[in-house]
Amino acid sequence: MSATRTATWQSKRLARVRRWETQRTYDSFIDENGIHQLLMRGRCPDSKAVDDIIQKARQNATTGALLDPQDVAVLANVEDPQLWHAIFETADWIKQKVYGNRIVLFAPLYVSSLCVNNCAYCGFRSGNPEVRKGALTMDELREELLSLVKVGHKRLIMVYGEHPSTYEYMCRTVESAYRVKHGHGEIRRANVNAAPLFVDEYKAVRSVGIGTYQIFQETYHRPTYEALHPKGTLKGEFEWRLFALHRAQEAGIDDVALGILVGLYDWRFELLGLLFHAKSLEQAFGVGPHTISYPRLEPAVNTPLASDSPHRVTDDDFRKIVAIIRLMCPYTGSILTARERPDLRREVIRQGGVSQMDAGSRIAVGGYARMERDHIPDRQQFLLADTRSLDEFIRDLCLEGYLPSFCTAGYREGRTGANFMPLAKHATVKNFCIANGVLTFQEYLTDYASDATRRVGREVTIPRYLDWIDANVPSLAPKVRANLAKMEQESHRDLHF
Amino acid sequence: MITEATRRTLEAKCKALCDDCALECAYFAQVLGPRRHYLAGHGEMKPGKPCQILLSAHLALFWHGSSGKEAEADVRNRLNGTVRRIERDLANRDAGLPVPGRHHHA
Repeated sequence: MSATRTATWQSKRLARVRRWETQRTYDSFIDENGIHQLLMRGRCPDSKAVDDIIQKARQNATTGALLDPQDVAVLANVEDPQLWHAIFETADWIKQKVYGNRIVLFAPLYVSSLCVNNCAYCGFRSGNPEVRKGALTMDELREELLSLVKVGHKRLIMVYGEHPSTYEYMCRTVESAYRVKHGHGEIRRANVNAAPLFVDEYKAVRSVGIGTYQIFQETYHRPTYEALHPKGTLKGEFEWRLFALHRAQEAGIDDVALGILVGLYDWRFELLGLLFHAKSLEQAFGVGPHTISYPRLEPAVNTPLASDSPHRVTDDDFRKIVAIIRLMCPYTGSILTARERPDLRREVIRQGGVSQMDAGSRIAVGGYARMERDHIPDRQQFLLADTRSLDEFIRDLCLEGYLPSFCTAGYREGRTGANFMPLAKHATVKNFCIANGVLTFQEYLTDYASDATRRVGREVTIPRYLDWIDANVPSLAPKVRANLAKMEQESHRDLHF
Repeated sequence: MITEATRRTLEAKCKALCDDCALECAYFAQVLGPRRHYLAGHGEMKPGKPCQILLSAHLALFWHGSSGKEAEADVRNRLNGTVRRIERDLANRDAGLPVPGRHHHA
């Protein structure tokens, strides 16, 4: 598409976006002064108050209640290392209580980096000539998908820039992802990370059977948002994005995902922004966020802000952010990405109660088919810190005692939205998670694993989690074992609950 | 996407199925590619694989608590009239999808 046609498209769309903003019926859930006051009042908390909040968070793990904003403001102000130790322990406890000790694995698939926006922190911004941008052709997409399927991935987050053809292209590419087969391999769940849409466009995307629709607000602090997202671009419209997932819910997309770009503004403020966002969705639709992501600002080619932001967070603060998210929203999936270093990821999984991670990731458009191991910074949105292969990553998870899971059962068995929430809110979803985790991990070990990973998986991990099922869901144990036998003896695949 | 009235109808149908057929839970889902998108239901989900039948090209019913061909046939018989109504509702509510290749709102 020519630059002129793209500019015309953008200007017409911006006019329509602004009309929507003028006519919107939702009340804003972000009160900046209110959040600042909460944070002020939460300063220097006494240990009794923090202990009470920790106990409340534990109780919430089986009711699904969110913490109150004042509780989160208190936790965000804790400085005592002993109290932080208790918070980290609680984050892990809640994760175990709700989801069990499994980590769901996925791959990001950058489908298109063409973008009309010009966000100051993003390597893909329209004004950055030093990063090459593009969109996969259907043949290139197939190559990427085959590369992913061949190493064992089953679950994607498909990432798109904002461009004239976005939602139609999304529909075509998601359908294509579901069609790819290679041996026993296939993509079973395609989540998307893309720009906000209008309700009719969301309906089109919904119709192809996406998993979760993920939109990060980036920052809930309006002055910061407006400074980083130039006026006159689509992303420059704060409210349009703030209610993007409300519109998705209106369109019937009931699995929606929140996120912040950590390091754009004060992380304490952003945590409260996430909480108010979750509360607003619950209030309007009865369904809160399926997942929350907290990618940290990382260096990108020719993008000084990504390295110089005054709000970049330390590793210590990053740990705190992840843990507080787990305490404040116990039922949500918590996504820790390969932006972080392996050593930090190992710590944060446990200290933060993380439930989903990517591995073997490539974040350039066409990156999986083109790169065996190395990364290509001039095609990437930012730089990755964890470059372990999927197999290495899985082996490390096993050695740390986790169950790697490729489970995609829930959304194919009708456990979506309002049907999924009670399972997560009452902490019974782990009964499905662990059983499906064992079955999908066994598939991985049989079809894709290296000898070293297969050994630890078969000798340690699978037996450990079969024991867990025996002890915690005995009614399911014979069925899990029967399915494992079918996989082994009769080459059955995709057996799930 | 269904109306509130249809949602209540589906919940009532599922409750009746649970009561009459001694099911632990039953729920309807819309077929969207590989996704089975929850619409409405009744009862408490138990660990294990739910039984599933396709009632039409766009509608599936899941249940926990009994299995076998007889149960399936029984469930189908009870839902014959309902399916057509839900299909209509789904078609109406999902109507207005943009036509691929045409930026009619842009």
